[in-house]
This record gives sequence, structure tokens and C-alpha cells, in this order.
Amino acid sequence: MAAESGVSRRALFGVGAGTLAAGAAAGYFGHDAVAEAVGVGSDTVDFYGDHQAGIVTEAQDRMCFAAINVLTDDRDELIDLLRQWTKAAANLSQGLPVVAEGVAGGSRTAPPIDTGEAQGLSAGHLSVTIGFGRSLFRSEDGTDRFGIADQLPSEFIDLPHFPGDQLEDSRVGGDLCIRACADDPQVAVHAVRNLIRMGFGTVSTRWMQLGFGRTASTSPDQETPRNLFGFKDGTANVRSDEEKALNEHIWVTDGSWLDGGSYLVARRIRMHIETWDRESLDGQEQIFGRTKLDGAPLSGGEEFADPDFTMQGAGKQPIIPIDSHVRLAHPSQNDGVRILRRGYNYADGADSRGNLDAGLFFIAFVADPQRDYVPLQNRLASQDALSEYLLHTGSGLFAIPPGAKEGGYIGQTLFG
Amino acid sequence: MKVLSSDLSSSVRSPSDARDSKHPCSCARIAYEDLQPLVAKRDSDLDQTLKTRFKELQSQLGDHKDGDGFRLYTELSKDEVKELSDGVNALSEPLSKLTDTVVG
Repeated sequence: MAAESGVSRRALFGVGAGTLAAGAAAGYFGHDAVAEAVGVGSDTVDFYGDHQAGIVTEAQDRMCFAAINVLTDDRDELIDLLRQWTKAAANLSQGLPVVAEGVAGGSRTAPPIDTGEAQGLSAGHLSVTIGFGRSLFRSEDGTDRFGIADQLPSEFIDLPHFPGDQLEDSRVGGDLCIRACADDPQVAVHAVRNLIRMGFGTVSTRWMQLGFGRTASTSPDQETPRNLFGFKDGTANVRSDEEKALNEHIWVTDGSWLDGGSYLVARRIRMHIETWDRESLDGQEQIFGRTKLDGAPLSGGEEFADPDFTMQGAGKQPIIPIDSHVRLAHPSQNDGVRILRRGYNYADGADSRGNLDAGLFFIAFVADPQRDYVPLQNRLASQDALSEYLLHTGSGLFAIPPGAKEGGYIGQTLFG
Repeated sequence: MKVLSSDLSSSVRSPSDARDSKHPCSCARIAYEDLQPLVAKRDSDLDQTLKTRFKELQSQLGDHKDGDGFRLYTELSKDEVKELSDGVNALSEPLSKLTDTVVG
């Protein structure tokens, strides 16, 4: 039925039996009309705005992340794809198909333009965040493929090798990244899959990661979630209502093309789950410096109480151990550095020995990777008692351009 | 064309040597030559894309010539296989729109 073409997934299956009938009677209608008719639901996230969605957006439970190679050397072809991605991501964020023709509204002799697996599902708070890798500015062989090498910010470093890193080539780097977060994994994967599909010939997927069970909260209303060690993680996260901290630590505010953007640090951190599970409760709490059940610092109080790093216990040893995670990661111990963590747990089956390949897909947004992430990670990797149970297997650093205005596209401030 | 396009994809999924890609690629190209004038008239962008991508894939396959034949897939590095796969994807995606352009 051609008249279904522009109808949102919600309209078809939820709110809108009446709307659908009206729409069908009116024949074809476009996205805006539909979005208006069904009302933008409470489960949508605005794609357009000063900042890209998916950073201070209240953390959804699921993630699909793709690092992508750009195959073309043609600047216009790349810009065209960024334009297509912007439009498609905006539609998907409203719970609409990638284009008006949708799943079955196009020609019957052509492949469906939207792949269809999100049909009938709500928008699920989908956010799509697009980033640029350092290699987009200058390839490994030094080529300035797109005439943007002189726009490479000096803060945009190559992440150094950190102690204990065992990065796998197949999980490192990327010219671009797409990160979709949603309440429903099917919605997140649908978004990434359809964007990749639009780009065949122009781009190619380099590596991908699925994540579940958000490991950080980004608003004061969200409870701090747990990592696969069973501990609350990210208690000291920068939250969406901390405007001053966001401008200081998360958003780039230098007036450049990246102004209003940020950097996304991605680290695939495998956890030695089996070994960890054999550690006593006391031992686990000593390693984190927090209680397992409530996430309260070992110096007392509730979860959000400030840890007292000077408090001494038996034998005049600090109650929060010197090599505990909370101490080493705490802003007060890192020259006030704060990051916005927005990572996810992952479980990618078992390895050949039957151990879980599971852990944390760490994602942090920072304004300056050299200042905000490198010293912190060096410190954790070399001193944190937790690092004995961790193995960094994947890594990526991406500049996240500011948000786009309707009619514009992500990356416009860079490509013009 | 549907057959050709799926041949191209499967040739990379379970290949024995690079000839498996070369063969459907050549067939697809020869078949396309017959349709090309019509496509050029109906969708010149698609025609241009297909021409470019046929040429690119042919040239990629040419890199793996070995005497009269081609190197075995098992002799190719992971990166070389990925490159061929990218080339096949790059051609197959616009090729999947061909039927509609011709009969739609």
C-alpha cells in the first residue's frame, strides 16, 4: 500500500490507527506532516541541535558502534554521504524510516530502501552520533585526501600506547564512526546498518561493537548502573545539568570548526571475568574502594558522599586503598579532570578456551584527549589494582563535530 | 541482473580463487553493455556509477592475476580479501537498482 510510505513506525502500530486512515485517504504525505500528525512522542531524541545527540542525552540501554573506513578520495562524494546520513539519522531519531518511501512504499522492482526490521518499533530514544578519525585528516601514508589536514586540531593526538595494552588490529582506528544508542538493540542496529548500506562504495565497515546495560548515567535522575564486575561505575560522571562542567571538560569551546563538539574516546576493555569472580567480597571492595551493594566509598556515607582519601583504618593504612580504582580515577586525584563516561557492557561469546569475551566498551567524551584522558589512563593502567583484571583490546579516538541545523549536515563546519 | 549481483556477493563469501569473482564480474559487465544505452537515458547517475565501479573492480582483480589464472583466495592477505569484498559491495549495491531502472 503506497500510502503507508511516509508513515512513522509508531503511527502504524500504536497511536495512529486513525492517523493512518486519514493519511491513507490523503494519499502520500511527507515526514514532517507525519511527525506532526502523530506528535513527537516522549521516546524521541532530537537529532538536530547545537550539540550532537548521544552525549548528554540520557543514556539509553543499548548501543551499536561502527568504525568506518572511507574508500573514496572524492571530497564531494564524502560530503554527499554525510548529508544523506544526517537526513536519515534525523528521520530514524523520530521513529521514521530512513526515507519517505520506507520499507514498502518504493518500487516493487527495486530493493526496499529501508531494510525494515525496525518497522513497528518505537523510536526507542534513538540517538545517532557521528565522528571523524584522525586518519580522515591525514591518511597513514600522509595524504591529505580531503583537503582538511590544516584543520586538524592540535589537541587531536594519536592515543599513545598505554601500559598493558594488547590492541587487536581489527579493533583499532577508523576514518569515521557512527554510534547509535537506543532503548532497543534492534533499533540501534537498524540505524547503523542502514547508514552503512547507503555508503557502500564510499565507505566500508572497519570494526563494530554492540553494547548493553549502559555503564554510566548522564543525568541526575538515572541510577548509577553496574559494570560486569557487579559494581556501580561512573558515580563521579559529569551530568547533563552541570553546564559549567560541561563547558569546561566536555565541549570544545575554541571557536574552531569543532566548537560545540567533543572528542569520543572508545576503548574495548576485556574483563577477566572468571578470575574476578574468585575474588572475595572484601577483596573486590578493596580494589574498587567502594562497597559492592551500594557503591558507597569505603570511607563511609552513601554512594554520592565524597570519598575521604585521608581517613585511616587499622594499621594506619588509608581506608580507601592507595591502588583502589575510586582513588586513582577520582577528579580530586587527577588535577580536577572530569570526563563524561557513556560506555556499555559487552559480551561477545566465549573464547576458544571457554572463557567469556566480555567486559566494558568504555566510551568517554572529553574536550581535550591529551589533557583529560591520556594522563588518567596512564595512571590507571600502571597503578590501579583493577587493571590486573583488565585487558584493552580495542581503541579509537574520534572528533565529534557540533550538531547540525535542519537543512545542514554533520561536518558542515569542517567541509563548508 | 539479480542473479549476477548475488553471484558477485557469494563469490566473495565462499571463494576458491579470484577467478570466481572475475567470472561473474565479467558476465555482469557484458550483460550490462546491452542495457547501458537504456540506463544512460533513464538514470545517467547510475550509469556513471556502474561504469566506474566495474572498472575499479576489474582493475582490483587484475592485481591478482597469476599467469593465465588468478591467485587462490587462500594466498591473499586479509586486507586484500577485504579490499576485494569492498569492491564487490561497491558494485553490487548500485547493481541492485538496475532491474528497477530497466523494467520499473
